[in-house]
Amino acid sequence: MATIFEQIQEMGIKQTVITKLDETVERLTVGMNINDIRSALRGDEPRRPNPRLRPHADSFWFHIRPSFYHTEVTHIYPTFRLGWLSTFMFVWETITGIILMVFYTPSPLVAYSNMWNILGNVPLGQLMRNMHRLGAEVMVLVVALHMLRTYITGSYKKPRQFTWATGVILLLFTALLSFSGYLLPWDQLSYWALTVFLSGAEAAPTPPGIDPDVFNGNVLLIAQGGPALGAGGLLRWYLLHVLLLPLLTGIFFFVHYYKVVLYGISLPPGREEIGEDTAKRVPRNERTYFTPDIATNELMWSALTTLFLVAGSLWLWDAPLETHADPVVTPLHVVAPWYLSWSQGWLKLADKTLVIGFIPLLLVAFIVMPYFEVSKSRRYADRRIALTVASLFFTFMLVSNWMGSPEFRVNSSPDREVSIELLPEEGTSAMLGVPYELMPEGTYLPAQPIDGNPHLTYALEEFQAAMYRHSCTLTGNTTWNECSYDESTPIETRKYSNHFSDDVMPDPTAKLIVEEVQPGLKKLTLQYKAFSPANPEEFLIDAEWVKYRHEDSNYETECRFANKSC
Amino acid sequence: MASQAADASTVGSGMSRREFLYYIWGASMALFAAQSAGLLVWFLIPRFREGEFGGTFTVSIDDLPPVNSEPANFPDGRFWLSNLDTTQPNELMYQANDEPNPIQGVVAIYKVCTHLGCIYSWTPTNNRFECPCHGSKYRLDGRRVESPAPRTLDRFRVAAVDDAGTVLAEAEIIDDFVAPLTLPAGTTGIRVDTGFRKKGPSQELLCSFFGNCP
Repeated sequence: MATIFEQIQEMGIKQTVITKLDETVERLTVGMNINDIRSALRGDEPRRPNPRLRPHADSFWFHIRPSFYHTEVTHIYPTFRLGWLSTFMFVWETITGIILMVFYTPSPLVAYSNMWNILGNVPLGQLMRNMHRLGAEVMVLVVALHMLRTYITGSYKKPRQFTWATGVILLLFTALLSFSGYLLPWDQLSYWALTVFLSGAEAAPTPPGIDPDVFNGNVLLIAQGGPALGAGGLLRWYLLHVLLLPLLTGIFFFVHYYKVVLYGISLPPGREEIGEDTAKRVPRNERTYFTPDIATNELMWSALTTLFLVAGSLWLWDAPLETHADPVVTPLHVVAPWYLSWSQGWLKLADKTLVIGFIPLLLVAFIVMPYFEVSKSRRYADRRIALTVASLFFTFMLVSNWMGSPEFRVNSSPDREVSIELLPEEGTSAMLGVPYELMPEGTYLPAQPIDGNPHLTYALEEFQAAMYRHSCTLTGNTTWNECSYDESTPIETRKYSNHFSDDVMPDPTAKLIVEEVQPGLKKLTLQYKAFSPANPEEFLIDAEWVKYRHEDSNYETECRFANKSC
Repeated sequence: MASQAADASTVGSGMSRREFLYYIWGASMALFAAQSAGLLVWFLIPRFREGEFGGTFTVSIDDLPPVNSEPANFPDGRFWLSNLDTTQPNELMYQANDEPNPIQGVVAIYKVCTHLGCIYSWTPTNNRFECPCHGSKYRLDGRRVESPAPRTLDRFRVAAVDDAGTVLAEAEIIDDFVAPLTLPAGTTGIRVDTGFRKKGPSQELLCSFFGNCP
């Protein structure tokens, strides 16, 4: 071997540099020099022996990928690229998560202000948080769809039962990863979502012969790090989110992926004989090689997903952040994250121990399903029962989701419902969106027109509309709907209703009082009075709802941002 | 019998000392792992100081709500105080057929909904506790009006004390639940022991008596 100086003497500097560069590239790619790479990118036939196969034998990253796929599985159908996208989302979440960790401390004292620092102060902080949060939700969706398509194409059948089992576990980990991150902002939304989740877990059935108070009580203590969620709980869930769950997910990912490579990706059901598995016996003319076709295809999907996630985070969607967590006030209309809505729906239907006990049973049923469902054919026409069961289950989940959504929510008293619409605890509304200077002190009635002040006029119209939905009339007042009620109940305990709501205020008076309690701070009071029809001296409803509006709170900006008509 | 014995002896003789020792070693490692898991659970159970929540709170009699009126909220101790008397007609504390008559006295009710751990609150216009999460409703004394709550709200034990801190009377425990405490004369304070909590029983829903369950 000539030394570098001898080479320079022999070939000149330029040629030596080119040769050395070529050698370096060949070492890094473990087998492909610059010309080989260029020929692959040009789409030429490889030279013999094929240098594009060497990295699959000798390099780490390529040896875990197969050197070729059956051409039939490289189209959109049957895989829809969902497995690759799940992997991509996991990497995406790891990267954005590590960046966010730089600015986050898991302590109730500072976690919430850390969030505002990330949103308002850290360059690109809000983008990074949006991308992480959007990514988390997209990942749950992608992994769930991956499982759905695996079921539909019958790809869980022999020999891939174990791959399916690890996949179910990965779905569970994905949901847990997403949900464990939910608590970290330490706002009302996260605090109460997790409290409900943990109390649900506490209701789980206990193994026979064990005192449920002791067993479940201690499990709850371990999970929430104290008698109520606090500093200990936040730290525990943070560690779960950033350490334990990613580690477990990583381990199961590699087991899952090893099985995918071992058995190959199953062909579309119609492409092989019933009972055959030809995924690993690919004729030469049906091979699509990893380099360059699969690699560039995966890159393209990664680029498209990146585009979607970045654009979505920039323009389409913002991660929510509510007010600081308050362990003694549960906000009205608490909702679960959408991917857990179904469980909220179930909880409204059945006893909680039954519901919580059912979920792990369902998981186990999913895991062992391929060992019991052993019919050979993967063809759709032969799997009518399986596909019917799947669609029924899917419909059931959709309905459960709807029932857990705010559409099916719990209603409070009519005055509170009106108040929540007008002066909500979180976010903005028509009344909060009125600019500070356009809200002079005074007392206002619903639907009262204010000259030269369209904002306040609009807010008062909304006040009227909300009252309309939660009021009714016994005296023929044309402002409200007629009250309906059950004649048979005594007048003192009668429930009044209109066609919007089954618990309303009869003949109410309502007003909005605006006072400036200190410079730059106004107190908005909603006042309701409704007399009992049984006794005109006695109030059926006499209630107030107060919210403060600061000069600098940016509700009107929020209105424009949320594209709300306030 | 003979052939079985022979089989057993073959199995026995087939095991060399080395194989046997490996099994012993494996079993000891499994035992060690199980012990470690147990220790891990023990290690993970949080230790918290009694005395914050979990200790006793003394409330002045002046802060006790009047009879059959809206309950008083004590966020630090995580309880509500209700003052009950069903002998006086009222809308807040109506009586159901299956209850002892009358219900009289003071109760300290744990602030957490028995359904899924949300903090319910008093809804004045509906004259009852309502949970914002899944809509459980409770009467002034904590008995459930509407599901999904599985049982009545939990109660803490209360005692009536005088200025010197002497206990004049303590709430009775009836059927493993804290009964309302009638305050004797001379009471100046109510002592609530948040370390002594009794789970509410699964009584029938009150709404079923009125036939207006949703």
